[in-house]
Amino acid sequence: MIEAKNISYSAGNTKILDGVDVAIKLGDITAILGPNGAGKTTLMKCLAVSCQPDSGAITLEGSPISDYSLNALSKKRAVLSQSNPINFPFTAFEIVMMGRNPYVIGENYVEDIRIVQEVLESVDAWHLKDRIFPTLSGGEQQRVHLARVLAQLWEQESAYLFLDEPTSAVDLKHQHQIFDLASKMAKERNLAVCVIMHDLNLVLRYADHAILMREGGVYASGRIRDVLTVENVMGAFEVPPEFFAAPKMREMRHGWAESVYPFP
Amino acid sequence: MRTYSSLAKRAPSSLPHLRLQAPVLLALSGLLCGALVLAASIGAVSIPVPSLLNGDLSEQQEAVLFHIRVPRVLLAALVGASLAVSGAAMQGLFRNPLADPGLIGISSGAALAVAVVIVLAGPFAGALGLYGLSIAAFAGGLTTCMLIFRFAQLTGTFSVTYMLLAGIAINALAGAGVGFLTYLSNDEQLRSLTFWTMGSLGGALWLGVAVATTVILPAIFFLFRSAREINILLLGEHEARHLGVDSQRLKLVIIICTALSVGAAVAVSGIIGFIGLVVPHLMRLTIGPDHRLLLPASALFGAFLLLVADTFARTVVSPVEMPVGILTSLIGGPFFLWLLVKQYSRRFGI
Repeated sequence: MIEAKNISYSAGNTKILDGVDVAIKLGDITAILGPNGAGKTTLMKCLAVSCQPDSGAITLEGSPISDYSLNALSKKRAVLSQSNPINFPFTAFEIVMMGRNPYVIGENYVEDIRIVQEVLESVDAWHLKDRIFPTLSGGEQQRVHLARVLAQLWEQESAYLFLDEPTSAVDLKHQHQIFDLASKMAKERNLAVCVIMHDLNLVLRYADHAILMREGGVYASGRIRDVLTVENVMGAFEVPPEFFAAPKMREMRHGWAESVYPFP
Repeated sequence: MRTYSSLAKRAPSSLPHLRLQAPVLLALSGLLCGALVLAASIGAVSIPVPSLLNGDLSEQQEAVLFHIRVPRVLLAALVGASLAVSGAAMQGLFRNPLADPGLIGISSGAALAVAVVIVLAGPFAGALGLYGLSIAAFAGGLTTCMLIFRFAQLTGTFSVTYMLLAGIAINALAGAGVGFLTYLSNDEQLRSLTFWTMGSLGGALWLGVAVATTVILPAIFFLFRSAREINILLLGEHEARHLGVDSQRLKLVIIICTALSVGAAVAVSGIIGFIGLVVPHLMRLTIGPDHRLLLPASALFGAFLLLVADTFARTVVSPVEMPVGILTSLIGGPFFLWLLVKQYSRRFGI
């Protein structure tokens, strides 16, 4: 479990996070939700140790996060950022192979090749392996970067996966494929998946927990059914939602089925 | 409906596109060795290749070979390798293939420091000799490199536009500084200054070779050792940290090693432009962007290219010689423009 207690973060005079308490649990998908500028990405960066909060404490499995070395952390958590432009003509295969960097020394190269193939297949991008990365489309680039991040934790148990809008440029079919994969990995390998997303339908369908943020603080958090209520969505996004029963989704793993369509 | 079944059933593993490694480096080494022998034989006093290899030389040929030809040829190869590897490493650091030690002002920063030492600290510099100039050039290069890096990140994220604009400003400032020092200098100092700013290997002596070897080779060695990490750095500083690369330390290694090796190159040969831009780019086109292969290949090809250019520069208008810096700029300028057009049309880069 990664736990943040009372963390705050400011950039210049702007307070971006203000006394946030959250926990990311293994085996679950936790969605971070909220309007633009609510502090979602900053919170994720603090949890993923990309930046240091001004105050407050973050612990990873009970020990302060600063006790872990860069290399130990790189085998424990992976991060997909929002944008990752690359100006050099690497192939998609080479980009994904970079995800194996924490393991390269003394490890079996053949093994790494197998893993790269598996992750590329898992995001349906193996056919792109020899394409030059900067020539791929936005959605394809996003999937290849996702594959790189997955390669970093592919054979790890109880690791942490942070995804900042992983499907913002990805088409519908691949969105579902990616979230299916994420929930499968969360359950089978006891992974904690923490994901920032805007599509509440995807959240309802795949996430176990949600952290709803507003103006640098946590507006609501907990199990998805308790967070995504009409009042909370209204309060955080200022948009009245409507929840519909979605008959075909009745067999969903929550045992309940709903879909939400916010209207202005 | 769910389509990740591929997870379960393995596709026959097809080997990925693995790029040629040893053959390329061997071929480039062969090319360089050939060029070294040829360049040593060509010149005002001709030394035919067979007698060069047999050691069957007249006294005059021997004197020319060991006191003039060999140091010059070695220096050209060393400086070429230094500039090409520094260019490749710097492009990795700036995450953009348009970075070049000359273009973004690192060479001229180093040259300004050298000019300051020549004109203002003349008698003191004598004590340290060429090493004194190297230290000055290193300090100048280091300062400019750090300045440029700061400016490029002014907006929070890395901007190529700011990098190139800051490079223009620093080139102009250093130019003004050198110009002012030229105005202050006496005749002897003026000659040395002109030599630095034009870029020439004409003054090659064994001392220069010694200085270049002891500074450039270790710097290049440390860059080679960081090659795998430089690949990861291309993903971005944060991404590299997530992957276990200490990007702060890596950035420092790249900045110090390139400043050292460019500084030494400037100290012995003045400003020779565009080698650091042209060579890594050509190598990337032929063998791909992986720095584990790109850095050694750039070193070999950079050595080869500057050697050829220098041999050309000292023979084409014989008996006088053309500063090789003019020649490399003549080739490199149009090449850079072509690169700009190509980058624009591909819609990446700037």
